This record gives sequence, C-alpha cells and structure tokens, in this order.
Amino acid sequence: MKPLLKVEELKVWFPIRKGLIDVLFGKMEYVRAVDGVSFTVGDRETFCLVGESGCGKTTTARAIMMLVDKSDVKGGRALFKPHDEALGEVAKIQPDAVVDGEYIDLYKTRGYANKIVRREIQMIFQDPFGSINPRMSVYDIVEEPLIVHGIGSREERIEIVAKALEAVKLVPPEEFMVRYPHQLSGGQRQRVSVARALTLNPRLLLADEPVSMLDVSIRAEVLNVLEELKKTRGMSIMFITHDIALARYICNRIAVMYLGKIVEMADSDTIIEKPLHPYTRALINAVPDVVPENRLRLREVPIKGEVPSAVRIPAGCRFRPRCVAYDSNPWVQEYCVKEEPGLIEVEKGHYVACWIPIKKKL
Amino acid sequence: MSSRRSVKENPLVVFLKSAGGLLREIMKYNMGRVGLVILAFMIIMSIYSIATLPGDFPSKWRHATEPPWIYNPKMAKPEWVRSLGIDASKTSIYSNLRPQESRIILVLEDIGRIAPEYVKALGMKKLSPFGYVEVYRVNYNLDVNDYVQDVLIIFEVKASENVNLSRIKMNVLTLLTRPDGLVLEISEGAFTLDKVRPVKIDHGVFSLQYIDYFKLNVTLEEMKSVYYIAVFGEPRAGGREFTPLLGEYQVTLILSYIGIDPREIARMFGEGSLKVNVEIRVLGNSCGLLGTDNLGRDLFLGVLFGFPVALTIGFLVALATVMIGLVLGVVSGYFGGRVDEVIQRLVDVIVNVPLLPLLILVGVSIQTRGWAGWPAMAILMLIIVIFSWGGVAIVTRSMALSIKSEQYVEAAKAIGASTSRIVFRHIIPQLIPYTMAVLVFSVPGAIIAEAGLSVLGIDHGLPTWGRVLADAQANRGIAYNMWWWILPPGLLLGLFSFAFVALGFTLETIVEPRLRRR
Amino acid sequence: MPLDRRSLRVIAFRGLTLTIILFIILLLTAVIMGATGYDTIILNAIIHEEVRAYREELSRPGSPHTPEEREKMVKEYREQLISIYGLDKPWYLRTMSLIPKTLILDLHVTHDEVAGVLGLRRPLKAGDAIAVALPRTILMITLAYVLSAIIAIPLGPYIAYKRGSILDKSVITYAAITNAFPVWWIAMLSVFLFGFYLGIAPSSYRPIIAHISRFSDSLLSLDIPGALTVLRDVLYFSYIPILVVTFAVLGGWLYSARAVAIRVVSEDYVMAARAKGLSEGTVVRKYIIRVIAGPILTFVILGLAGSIGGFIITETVFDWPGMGLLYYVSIAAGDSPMVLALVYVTTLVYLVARFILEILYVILDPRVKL
Repeated sequence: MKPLLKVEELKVWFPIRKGLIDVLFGKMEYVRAVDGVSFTVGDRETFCLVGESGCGKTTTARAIMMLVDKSDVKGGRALFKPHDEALGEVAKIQPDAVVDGEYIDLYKTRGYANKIVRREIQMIFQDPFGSINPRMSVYDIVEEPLIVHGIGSREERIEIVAKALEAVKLVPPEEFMVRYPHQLSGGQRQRVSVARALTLNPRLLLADEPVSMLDVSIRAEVLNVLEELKKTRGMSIMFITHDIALARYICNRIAVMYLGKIVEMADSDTIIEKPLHPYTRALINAVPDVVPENRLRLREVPIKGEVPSAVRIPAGCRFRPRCVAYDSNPWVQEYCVKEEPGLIEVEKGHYVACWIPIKKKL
Repeated sequence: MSSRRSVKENPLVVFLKSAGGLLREIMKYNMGRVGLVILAFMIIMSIYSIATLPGDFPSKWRHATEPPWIYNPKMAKPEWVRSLGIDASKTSIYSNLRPQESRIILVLEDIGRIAPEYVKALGMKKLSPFGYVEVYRVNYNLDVNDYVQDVLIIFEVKASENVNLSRIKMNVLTLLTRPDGLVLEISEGAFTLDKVRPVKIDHGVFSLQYIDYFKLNVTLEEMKSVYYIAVFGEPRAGGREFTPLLGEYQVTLILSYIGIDPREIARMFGEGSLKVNVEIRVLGNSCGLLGTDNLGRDLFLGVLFGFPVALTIGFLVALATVMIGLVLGVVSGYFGGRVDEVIQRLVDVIVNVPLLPLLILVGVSIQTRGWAGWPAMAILMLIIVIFSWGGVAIVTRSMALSIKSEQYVEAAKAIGASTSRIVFRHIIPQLIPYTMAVLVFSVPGAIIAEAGLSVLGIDHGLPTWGRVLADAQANRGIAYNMWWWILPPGLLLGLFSFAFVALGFTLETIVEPRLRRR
Repeated sequence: MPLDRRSLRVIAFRGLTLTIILFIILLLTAVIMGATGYDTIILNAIIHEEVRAYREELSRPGSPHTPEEREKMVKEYREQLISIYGLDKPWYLRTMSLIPKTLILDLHVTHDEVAGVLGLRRPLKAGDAIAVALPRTILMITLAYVLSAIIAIPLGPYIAYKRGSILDKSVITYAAITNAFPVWWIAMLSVFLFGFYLGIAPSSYRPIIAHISRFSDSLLSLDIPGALTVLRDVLYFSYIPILVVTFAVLGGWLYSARAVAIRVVSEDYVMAARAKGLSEGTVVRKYIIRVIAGPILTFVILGLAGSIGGFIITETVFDWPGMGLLYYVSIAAGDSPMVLALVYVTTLVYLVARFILEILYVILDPRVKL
C-alpha cells in the first residue's frame, strides 16, 4: 500500500521581517523553521509529530496545508495521493503537478487544481477560540467549505452540516446550528472545527494540537470523536502534539522533531520503549507520572540548556549543545561537531538521526 | 425536517434585529438619546422639505430678484417675535379675493355709489373710471408701533384662447382709508391684460395729496424719501418726522376694464372665459416662520431645503470616504508587500495635504471658469472624499494586519476560500463596528466644509445652511442686527453636527469597551 | 543617548519621505492652479486692464506720438506684460518654474489686493508678507492653542479620574458642542453680539494692523509706557478673537487629554499603584502624567505647528489680517506665487514638527521601527 502523503526534504525558511531600510541596506536572514524534513503518512494511519514548541511541527503542518507563502518553501516537496477522480481532474488542467502518475506535488498546484487538492486535506487548529469566526453562526462556519467548493444544493448542504454535527456529537444539530461561538464551550468549539473539516470528507486530516488548549477533563471528548471518525470514515490523521504520552495513546507511528528536523521516527511502542535519540529520551522522561508518590521524586531529565534560536542553528549536530549523551560519549564527539547526522534506518522502521546509534550499528 | 428550516435566518430579519439591538444599546446613553432625537427631527424635516418644496427650488432661490421673493417684505423679522412683544408689523396676504362690487359704469356719478371713498379721496378731480368696474376691499390692523413696508397688488390673468388680452385694458387705482379718516390714493396703474404687472405704493401718486392734507412744509422731492413711513404714519415737525398711526386701515382696490365693449367683458367674466385673480399684500416687518433676507427670500424655505441636502451630502461623502478607507486599508494590510507600500505612501501624501486651501483653490477655480459644466458641489465633495480617507485607511490597515493572523482566517484559507471571500466574509465584518463609528463621526464634515466654503464666497449653486449664512455674511446681515438670518442656519448646522458627534461618542463607547463606564 | 546606525538610517529615511511628501504637495498645488487655468483668466484680465490704462495715458491730448506709433507702443507694452506674468509660456512651465523659487521663498506678490489685505503695498516679497501675517495669527490662534493646552493638560487626567461624574459629563457635552459648531460661526455670533449688539468689542478687526505696528514700534524704541498704552488697544482688538478660538478648541483638547488619560487610568499598573495605598496625587503625578506625556506632547507640537497656518474662515469672518486671510485672498486673487509660498511654509512647518516627533520617538523608544 502506497503512502497517502510523502514529504521529502521539505524546507520552510521565513525571512526575518525587518524595516524597509534593512531590506535596502542589509542582507536577509531567515528563521529556518522547517529545515529538511522527510516522512510519510500511510493510508488510514495516525501519524504523530512530536516536539517542543518552536520546533517547527506546526509550520510543517501549515506547509502541507499550503498555508505558508510559496516563496518561503525553500526546498523539498510534499506529494499527496488524492482520489482517482481528483487526480484525473488535476492531470487534465495541470499535468506538470502530477508525479509518478499517482501523486500530486502540492507546491506546483495553482488555481483550481489547488482547490481540488485542498478538498482532500483538512486541518483542525490548536486554538478553539481563535479558529472559528466569532461573527458566524455554527451553521455558517460548518457550511462554508461546501459553499467555497460549490457542493450540494441548499437542502443538501443542510443535510451534510447536520450529519457532520452529529458525527462530532453536537446533538441535536438543529439546536447547535443557530448558535454563535461565544455560546459554546471550548470543547464544543473544537468539535465545530472538526465538523467543518469533515464536511468535505477529506482523506487526510491534520490536527495541530487540537486538545492542548482544552481543559484536561474535556480532551477525551475531542480525542474520542477523532478516533471514531478515523474508524468510520477511513481517514488518515496527522496529529501534532508536544505530549509524547498522548501521542502514544492515539498514534500508529511517531516522529520526534527538534529545531526544524526529525530526529527519530518509529512505531509508537518502539519509540516509547526503545528510544534511541537522547532528545526522545528526554521527552519521555519529562512526562509526569500519574502515580502521585512518584511525582514527588525529582526525576532526572537528561537534557541541558535552552533551545537555540532557529536563526543561528548550531553547526554539526544541532542537538549537540544540549546533549547529555555527547558529554558521556567522547568517542563520538568528533562526528557530532563535524557533521549533521542524517535520518538513518537503524532497525526496520526505526529511523534515528544521532551519531551514537548510527556509529554503533555500523 | 421542518425544524431545520430555521438554520439560517432571513438576512433582512437579521439586519433588523441587529439594528434594533444597536438602537436599544444607543438609547442606554444620554448622548445617544439626544443624538437619535435630533437625527429623527432632521429626517422628518427632510421628508417634509422634499414633500413640500418644488423641484426647481434651488434655481428659484438663486433668482432672488424674481417672484415669489419680490412679493415678500425685505429684512422682515420672524412672525413669532410679535408674541414676544417686539414691535414688528404683521404681513397680511389677501388672496383669492372676490370683488365686493362689480358692474358696468358709464356715468361718472355711479362710481360714488359703489366706492364712496373714491369721491372722498379724489372728488371729481380725476377722470373717473368707466367701463366694467370691480371694487375690492380688505382690512388691515396696524397693532404695533411700527410701519408697513409696502402695499402690493398682484394680478394673475387666466383666459381662454379666443380672448384677445392685448385689447383689454385694466386701470388700477388703490385707495387707503386710514384710521384718522383720511383716504389716500396710494398707487395707480394702467396696462393691457397680456402685460399685467404688480402695483406698489407710488410716492408720486399720493405725495401731493398728503402734503396738502397735513399742510406740510416739505417738497415733493423730500417726500420721496419718507413716503413709505408717511403712508402709515402721522407727520410731526412739519413732515420731517413721523410716528406710526395705529388702528384699522382699509385698502380699496378699484379695477376698471376698458378697451372693448364693457358688456362683452362682463359676459366673459360671467361665463369664466376670462379670470383675473387679485392678491393684495400688506407687507409688514415680520413675515413667515424665520423672517426674510435682504431680498425678501423666505428664510424658512431656504433653511428647510438645507435639511435633505445636509443629510444626503453628509451621508454620501462619509460613506464614500469610509468605504474607500476601509477597502484600501484592508487591502494594504492583508496583501502587504508592494501594494501596501504604494497605499501607505499615498496615505502619507493625502493626510498631509492642506485640504481647506485646496478646496478653496478648486472652488475659486470652478467659479472663475467652470469645470466643463460639472456641478461645483459634486466636484467639491469628490475632493473631500479623495483627501479624507487616509485616516480610516491607517486604522483599518492595522486592524486588518492583526485579523489576518487570526486562526480563523488561516482556517478559511485551509478550506480553500478565495481571497475575496476571506476579505469580505472574514475580515471586513470584524471592522464594521469601528467603521460605523467613524462613518457617524464623519457625516457632518462635508456639510461644515461646504458651509465654510460658502462663507468664503464660493457659490456651489444649492441653497444650504452654509449658503444662507454666506448671504448673511456677504450682505452685512450682522450689521443690520438680523439675528434671524444668522442664528437658525448656524444653529441647525451645529445641531446636525452635534447629533452625529453625540452618536459617534456613543458608538465609540459601545464598540470600545475600555471607554465604557464600569 | 547616542543613536545607533540603524536609528540614524530610520531618521534619514523618514526625513527623505517627508521631503518627498512636501514636494508632491507643492506639485499638486501648482498643477491644480495651472491646469484648471483660472490664474490665466485672472492674469489676462489684469493685463487687459493695464494695457487699457496705458493706452488711455498715451492718447491724452498733446501726446507727441502718432497713432501708428501709439499702437506699436501699446503692442510692445502688452507683450512685455505677457512675458512678465509668464503668459507666453504654457502653464506647466509657468507654475513649475515657480517651484524651485518656492523652496528658497524667492517669490513676489503679484496682486495688489493680496498686499492690501495685510495693510502693505507691492512690490512685496512673499517671505515678507508671511513675516507680517504670521505674528498676527500667532497672537490670535497660536495663543489660543497655548491657553487651551495650559488648561487641558492638567485637567485631563483629573477628569479621566472622575469618569462618570457631573464634571466628566459636562466636559464631554462641552467638547461635543464645540466640535459640532464651526469656529467661524461662533466668530460671526461674537461679532454680532459683542461688536454690534452689546458694543463692548470692535465690529471690525482690521485696525489691529495699526495697533500691532505701533506696539512693536514703541517696543523697538524702548518706549515702555507708550507700549503699555498701545497694548491696551491691541488687547481691545484681540480679546474676542482669542477667547472665541480658545472656547472653540478647548473642548477638543479636554476630550483628547481625557481620552489619553482614561486608557492609562484603567491599566493594571495604575490599579496596582492605588492598591499599594499611594495617595491619589502621587498616582496621578508618577503613574499617569508620566505615561501620557508622550501622546500629549504629540498633540501640543502638532497643534501648534498646525495653528500657524491660521484659521482661514475664522480670520475672514473677523477680517483679521493674518495667515488665514492672506491664504484666502491669495487664492481668490489667483496669486500663484503667494499661494505656493503659503502652502510651502505651512506644510513645511507641519512636516518638520512631525519629523521632530518621530526623532523623539526613535530616541525615546528603540523598539520603533518603520
């Protein structure tokens, strides 16, 4: 089975917004938010992107959604495998965007072709308060994608909206349709957001920390809705979170990102039980324990220092300045300083970008 | 599923609901209430104005030395000042008069029978009227210590086509019976019916008789400069000073038609193929609701026309200004880059342009050579719009910049919404409350600017409050103590402006919660 | 505080922008005057009149010239006038050639009534005309602005503090009323009321010309008692205009000072200061005045800079021979050099004021970026 989404060496660099004068006199500097990222999302798979804030996971999602300026995509490509029907349409109007006869290069699509692929990829945003327009009713919000894509008559649209609302458990839908965002709870808003994404029946759903801004008590309602949708609608989900424990709970595969790069990627169980990258280990150790008495013990989190700026990324391995393993493994230091490790498959399906496991394997 | 029909409300219902909500919100504030009441008054007056004033009113107002204005008293105070105890004689207009007597007179003595005052005033010295004669009488009570400006007789002839008006001649004779019993001939006229003209008090007609009667020691030439007070006054100091003679006056108008067989004229009047409508006007020093100007124009009508003009121009200019500012500001903020740069530089220039000098420059230029027949008002308003949207654009740009990075805009892009949809559906609606407040604030701007330009002597051709004030200023209305010429238009201008300032303050408080009282 | 290279660049760039704006505004004025062609009409009328006078002078009895000679002389005179007034050149050359001269104010008043309105005579340099008109406008309008600022700045925070009180409400109402009524209408009323009806003020303000010049003469000749006597006349001829303008602009000042202060009053750190138990006076002085000083300074500087252009309509109503009236008469007479000079000077002063403010912002707040 071929993957649904293939991201290859994607680079997204933002120029630092400075005054006109700096543009005239100075030279450009970039924030290298995503600095060469490759991964795939399989059909009906839940794929997780984990990392601390600022590591580029949200930018990756926005890049896949084509929400970043094309001029900021400084390298690589994102290939998406749509329905055959959509593929045929794109092939007709923009044959140069079709790759290998099955995939569409997202950054080559323009105009209508772009609109066709957008139907197949949808996204849920992090902030339930900011991601829906406060001046529109729930009905208007959920119906909007249908209007934009010219789907259905008015009656049909009402039907689709009602089904979508039922699917996210906003029942009875008639009652919720006429409400406005300020009349909803955070969890309800986030489900409106999900419903909006659902109306187009996408193949791939990007969920950017959909529960991180919700109270712990209502996270489950949103997560359960996502889980159920995946089962009933056969969607693939790319889930973005900073919470590796949550990732294990919902994902098939997990990729760990650090400062614009993926440092480790494997099945969720493998990565939690046998982490190879020192950063992954640090993330796992940072998860608070549910057993109360264990919390009182001060655990050692194997990491030091602060995240460096994405403008000046350290030479060699970008994690080196914070790496505890670097200090305790003098034999590998020459490699770490000299060259950035690639993402190497050290076991079947287990990729890591750290000289220690790579050199050990060789 | 019938219950699902209500998922989307009728846009009109939604609009009315939100408008109603806004009104209720405004009514919570004193300023808002005052503003709304004044605005309602302005709207009612505008409707009344449009309903009552003729379409060619502006051109009528401009032609100040033509009817109907020349039939009015000049510089007359408002009528209601009489009830404040101010001495101002009233203006009485007697229209649709029917003759009290009408008959064919062939013998000289007959006139004494139907108009004894004729004999009293003139004896048999004058050639008596003969032919078909009509006599009209009206009474006028001079009740305050004041004179009367004039006694005016206006004719309107209506005839069927087969009547040859140039052959019928009308002799007009006006007599005034004073409270002291003196009967004066005050005017006379003679013209054919195709060339009727108004008849006024004629010093040449009555002076000699007046000097004789009071045995005054003045020349006819001297009488010429005081005749209008002599008619309704008593002479003192040998005719060099006068005091008003109060009491009941009677105006007798004797019309005699000659030229063709009197029986023929009588027949024509009888069957209605010839009609002469007579109007007698005793022009006092008070007239109408707001008095008259130096040319006799009824200031109430002039001011009345100002209502719809102020509302229309104010709203149009404000709407255009705010819309341009809104759209360009949003475009500038949302698209950024080169478009933003261009718009920002444009804003830099237009917010620094000295607008009033520019308007004067253009106004003077239009007046000197005309701009290819464009209406001056439209050009001036256009210039106000062109150079006023900068401020709105600056604010809406910064607001658009912050809304642009909101997640719901990102979400709209993610579903594939077009740019225009994002701008019109997601960004502009957020700016509406602010825009409303600015719109309300800027309504008076145009009309105040227009008034200022008028006062500087730039004539745009429409009667407006500013135009009326400008006439007052130009004709030294101030120096003649004509407060009724300066106060009403200025007060209305201020009231109009105040209504929108008050509503603007209120809206600002509503949309900017930080200013709201806790 | 030393400025870093970046700030200097910011300032230099801003200065350049403002210069370009000034230039564009001058160009715009010149184009409107030239392209609409109304100055041509006015100039033609003047030439026509002067030629007629010249011809009459020539053809007086006893003239030594033959009719042919006379015609030739008249023709030459006309051509001479045409080239003096620049009517032999197309409008864009005529008006554009004025712009470089405008920048160094090397312009002359071309119409008698423009000089006349100031109580002067031609030949008159535009710079001199402004030098005469400006002090009169400063006496009336700038002084009124200063008075308003002195009243409004200390009162603003106080009113903001008493938000919702009777005082606050009456200030808002007062501001709304003065905002609504045009100053020039209040001026009209005051001429009517104080000048004609009550007779406690002049009904024409033109004589201020003589009084001001007598006043400055006595000052220059160090005749202090004489100056004081004249000062009474100066005051008699200026107190109503000053009061009227102060009355009209004070409302706006109060409202702005209040609005600026209100934002600060409800800030958390002011609440915290009050919660600490600091006296209200200390809070106002240390926490409010300090923060609102910036915006208030902006108002004051821009207000004063804007005031020197005069109030065109108000000065016309008072017949007050300052910048505003000069502005109006120049435009009405089609005196392009004088109009350009006025646009230049008033815009320049305003833009320089803005520039100074922007430098202050950069110095005081290093975060300011373009």
